[in-house]
Amino acid sequence: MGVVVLVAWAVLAAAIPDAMPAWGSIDRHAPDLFVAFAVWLGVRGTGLHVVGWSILLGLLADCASLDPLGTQGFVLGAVTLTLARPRGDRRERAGLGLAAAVAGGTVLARVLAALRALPLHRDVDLVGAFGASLPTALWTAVASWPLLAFLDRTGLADDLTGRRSARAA
Amino acid sequence: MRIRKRHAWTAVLIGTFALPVLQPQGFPSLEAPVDALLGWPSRFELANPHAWNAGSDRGGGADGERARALETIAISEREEHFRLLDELAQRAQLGELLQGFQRLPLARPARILRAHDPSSTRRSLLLDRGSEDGLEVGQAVVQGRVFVGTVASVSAHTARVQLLTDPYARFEVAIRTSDGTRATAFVRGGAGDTLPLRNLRGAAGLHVRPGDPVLTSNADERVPAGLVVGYVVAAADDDLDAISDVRVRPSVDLERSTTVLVLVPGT
Repeated sequence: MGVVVLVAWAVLAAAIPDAMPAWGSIDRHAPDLFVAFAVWLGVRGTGLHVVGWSILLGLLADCASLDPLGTQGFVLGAVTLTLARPRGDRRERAGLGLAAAVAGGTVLARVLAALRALPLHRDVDLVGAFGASLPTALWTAVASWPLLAFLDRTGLADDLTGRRSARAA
Repeated sequence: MRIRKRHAWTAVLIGTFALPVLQPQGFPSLEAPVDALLGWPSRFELANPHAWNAGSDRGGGADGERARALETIAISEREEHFRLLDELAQRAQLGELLQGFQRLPLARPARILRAHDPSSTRRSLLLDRGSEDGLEVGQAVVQGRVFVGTVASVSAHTARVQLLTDPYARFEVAIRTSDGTRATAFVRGGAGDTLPLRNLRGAAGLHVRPGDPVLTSNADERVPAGLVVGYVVAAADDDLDAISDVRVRPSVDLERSTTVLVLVPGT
């Protein structure tokens, strides 16, 4: 079930920038649901295995984008690895804590994406990437809040985070 | 054990970091079908947000199922009517532009499935035409006589277009000044409203002014010369040998239609 949710999330995340209104330049800084899911995996995961799912999600994002394969795979994997907790750590972020983690993860992802582009494109603007990441982080946190709360409530992707097997144990 | 696992995942991440460096063009044969699969729901109008934003006015207010059904039909017919008018207008404009060409390209209409790239740092379109419709990498995509971009990857039934505004796009263009002087340069994409012109060489009599048109040049045989790229909005002092700071506002406006034309070489 978790893999189906992952693919459905990828379809939604690829479509969401088109659905954003021009009001407030939201369409220019559209929510990045790929990053939101990677952060959620890191925060809710019960071990480092979640990094693999993030990399897979990133590879799907690369396929749906002009970025060559591996670009978002690296970025999302790194974001999840940064947030992933070792097995046994029971602290959980919820509500505003999760939204703040999503916003922070989005900024980190943008900076990593800019750093990642350096070997291929010399004139990468790191400061501009950081500045542009702030509104994206805000909209990502706002848009992903109800969706991630839905995932938490229904437990649809718990087999990706390892919570289902942790509960069974 | 934990440290070892973290190291293993770090090694995997280094691998994914290296992948685009070693293979900057990606793996089109693998990526294009997955792209087509993820974009497949957009073939239905309800799941194509670009079609909602670009055209239809879905204001309701009518009572009863029958009225709503009729309204839906009327809206779809109206949208189809305007789509066809738009396509005809685009074809007419393009026909005017291409008069005199000995080997005319075929203008193949394609519907926009996705108008935004999922990566916030890139600018691309997903079209509902692919290699089975004759599309190939490098072909020009236009909106009437306005240059939109070039085909970057193709699957059997979809194609991804790199927009002129993509930060990593680089196209050779020609600038025609108000006194008739022509000069070539490269336009680079970017995140802002305006794009920088690079390598524009200052020549005798070249005076670039805001409002001067920027057109495609004849550097690429798959992109006809003379397509409108945009207009100069700012130009630095043109007494210098090399005019370094010219900004162009692109003419492409994807919100005004749901279709574009792909220029496929004629036979």
